[in-house]
Amino acid sequence: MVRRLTRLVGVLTAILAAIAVTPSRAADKVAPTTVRIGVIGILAEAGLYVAAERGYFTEEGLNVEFLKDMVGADAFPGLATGQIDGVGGSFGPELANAVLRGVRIKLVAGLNSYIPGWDAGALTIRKELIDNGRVKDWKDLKGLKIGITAPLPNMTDFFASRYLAQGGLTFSDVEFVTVPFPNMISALKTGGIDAAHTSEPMTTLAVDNKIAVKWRPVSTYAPPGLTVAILQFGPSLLDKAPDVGERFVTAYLRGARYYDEALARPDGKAEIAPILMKYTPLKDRSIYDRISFSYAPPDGEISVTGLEAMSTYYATHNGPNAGDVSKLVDDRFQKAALKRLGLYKKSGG
Amino acid sequence: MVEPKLRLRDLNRRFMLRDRAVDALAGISLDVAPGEFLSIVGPSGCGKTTMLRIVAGLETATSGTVEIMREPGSTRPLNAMVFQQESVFPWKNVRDNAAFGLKARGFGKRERYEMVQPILDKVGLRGFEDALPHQLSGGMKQRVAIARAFANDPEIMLMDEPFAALDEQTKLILQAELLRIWEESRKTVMYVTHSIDEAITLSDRVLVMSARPGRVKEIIDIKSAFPRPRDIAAVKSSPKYGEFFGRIWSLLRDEVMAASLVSA
Amino acid sequence: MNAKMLNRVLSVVTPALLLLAWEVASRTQIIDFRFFSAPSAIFKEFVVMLESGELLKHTLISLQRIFIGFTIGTVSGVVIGLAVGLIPAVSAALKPIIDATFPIPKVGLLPLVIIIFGLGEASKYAIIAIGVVYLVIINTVSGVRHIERIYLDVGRNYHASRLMMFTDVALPGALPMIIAGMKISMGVSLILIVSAESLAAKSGIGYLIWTTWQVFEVEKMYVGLFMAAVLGACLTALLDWLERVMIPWKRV
Ligand SMILES: Nc1ncnc2c1ncn2[C@@H]1O[C@H](COP(=O)(O)OP(=O)(O)OP(=O)(O)O)[C@@H](O)[C@H]1O
Ligand SMILES: [Mg+2]
Repeated sequence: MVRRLTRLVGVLTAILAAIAVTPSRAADKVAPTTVRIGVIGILAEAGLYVAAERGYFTEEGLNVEFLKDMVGADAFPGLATGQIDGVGGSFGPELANAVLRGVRIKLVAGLNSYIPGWDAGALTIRKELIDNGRVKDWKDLKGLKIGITAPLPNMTDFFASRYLAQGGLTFSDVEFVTVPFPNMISALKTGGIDAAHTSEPMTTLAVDNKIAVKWRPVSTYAPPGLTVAILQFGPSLLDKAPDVGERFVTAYLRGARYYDEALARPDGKAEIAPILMKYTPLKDRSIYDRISFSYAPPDGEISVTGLEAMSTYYATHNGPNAGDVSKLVDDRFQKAALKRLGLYKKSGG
Repeated sequence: MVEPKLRLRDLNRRFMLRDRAVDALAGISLDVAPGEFLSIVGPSGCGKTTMLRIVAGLETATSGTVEIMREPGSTRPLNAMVFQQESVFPWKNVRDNAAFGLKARGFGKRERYEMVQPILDKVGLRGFEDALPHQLSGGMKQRVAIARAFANDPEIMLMDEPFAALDEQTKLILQAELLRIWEESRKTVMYVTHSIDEAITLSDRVLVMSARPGRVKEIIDIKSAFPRPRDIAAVKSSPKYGEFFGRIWSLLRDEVMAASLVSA
Repeated sequence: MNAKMLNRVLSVVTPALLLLAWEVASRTQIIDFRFFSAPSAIFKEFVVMLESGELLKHTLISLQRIFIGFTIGTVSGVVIGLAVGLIPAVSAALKPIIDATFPIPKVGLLPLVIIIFGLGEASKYAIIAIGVVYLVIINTVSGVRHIERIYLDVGRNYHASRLMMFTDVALPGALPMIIAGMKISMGVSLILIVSAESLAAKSGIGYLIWTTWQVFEVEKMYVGLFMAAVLGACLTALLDWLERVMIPWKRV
């Protein structure tokens, strides 16, 4: 948290350093090609981590480096200069602004979607308000203090607009409180906020500690199949080495499929949990038995209608207007990968 | 003889410089009469400043006693010192510098300003009351220091080469002024100087000190030869002036030579 | 043209030339407009933000935080510094604590300050006051200890009370050092408020810089950076003026 400013300074220096730097990737056929991907380090990026641990990237001749916290605006200079090849992240106003400014970024594959049965996101409400009957139905959200992670418009308030609409409410019916994600639980605990859209493992941790209740799964208010985490490529993979991009997406999809199949097996969690423990901050093995896992679309599909809903929301709430969002998507890599792998058919399903 | 104003008995002061002992004063005994103007001359480093600082209470004697007699019922402060170095506060204007002692004694602003005004007039600082020291000449700054001491109306005035840093002409003018002010107030004064001329023209008696360790070498009575009030020009043209000068100079010369032998 | 005028002209021309170079470099694509923007685009955004009142709002709130925090820090720093400098017992009690905690980077204390003072304004004042108080204490102590002995002798010779020794001798004597300390701590204040606002605030220059970068509104971020620089320049000028007024005898 404190490092924010230092990071900002660091990013500015990185921009400066990057002016004249053109990365010279040795197109050596023997040595593996290095691919640098900015990530947050969260459960929603599971497909990438499984692919890495299963050795799928290596099989494609790739040496993948994950750069933690190098996402969003911080990643744009690196993407533009080729110091970073891709990022995993959400569709926020920063992406729309970057594209509008001519930063070349494309959405190439879905990392995590909200579909029924995979409720890695939820509307979480302070337990007291449920216990005392204050909140029973959507319309009871009126008058609550809603936690959001960034000033409007952004993703968490986009979700707020959706769940408030379920009770026929608007923003003027609630009070917004900006709380960074890591502080969400303590804000729920102290009553600083009453409700928030939370992801795993935060939801489970809040429930475990009897602070909050997982009140409604995200699939009840998000646009159906919304792709919340998306693999994005910069010019180095889009233009200079699309073949590397294809191999990367192929390996990733194999990871996503393995992840999906594993979780369908009774002993699957035991195999997946250690991988996620390695790449995310959630180190407590026992919690993996209780969380809702993220859905990694095995064919890498991106829901354009979901993106349109978000884009429209930003544009109508003083945010950037990204225009036709289907133009943000570049499905060349996904298509090439599917050509090699075929469409996913759940084994045994 | 009347009761002295100041009585020093067997005053000793030893400084330790690392492991070496430096005796600055050795057995000074001295009486100063009320209203007397006593000059002190002596080679550099013989302990003149040290003696004054002990009388002022800024330094303690290694042994010996200092007594300053007070008139019964007097609330006047015992002493006020005019320092060898520049000592006016650069952050206070002339008036506030002069009134510093009065402020310390608890006089209110209006009262103390009223009290210092006549003294500022006397030392020729009228019109400069609001000036800060950096806007004054060296001579004017010394006048402020003198005004500050006089304004406090002490039992005894301690003046440590107050004009040493000034040019000859300014010094002459200030000497005359000091004499005039002093003759009006008749304060008891201990006046350290390097100038034999100054010592003769201003003093009732001149104390000649020996080289370090400082002792009383001789006390020369001037008053009987030049009664008050004095005219400086007349004093200087008198044959007795030359006699005094020669006498003090020969005493000092011996001591200065002794001092340079010691340090050589 | 005399040297003084030349200097004045240079102080205007140099930044102007730099801005021009920036603009040209951006237009000729020597530097990447997408990340560096250009002075003209930033100025346009500046006008927009000025007219909407957004910029003024953020600037004023930062200014208020600095002003309150700085005043608390300076006043308590001078009082503590004078006590430590003049009273041996206070020095014995406090000096080791001050010396030991001084090197802690104050930005690192932000989470702690937020826990203690909450997310509101108090924590902003507190972090600035903490940043300022050390530098002012240290400079005040050293100012007091370096007062020429003669002034302390005069004070003692005239039997000035302890209070008067504080107010009439030690404080003005240490003032040049105190103001030097204030000047350094003004820079520290700016750094701290920008950090604090980017961490936990809903307004202020730091918030502006951080949030606009978060959503990649590049021109707005530069306007924020520019405002931080302007704020720094104005506050420094204010302290220079204060110095001239408060310690005229040190004027060079
Ligand atoms: N604080 C001190 N510590 C050590 N030695 C000292 C101290 N103060 C004075 N002395 C020594 O005592 C001696 C007398 O010093 P003092 O200042 O009294 O001489 P002085 O007669 O006033 O000389 P001058 O005519 O040059 O002013 C000198 O040798 C000096 O070095
Ligand atoms: Mg001396």
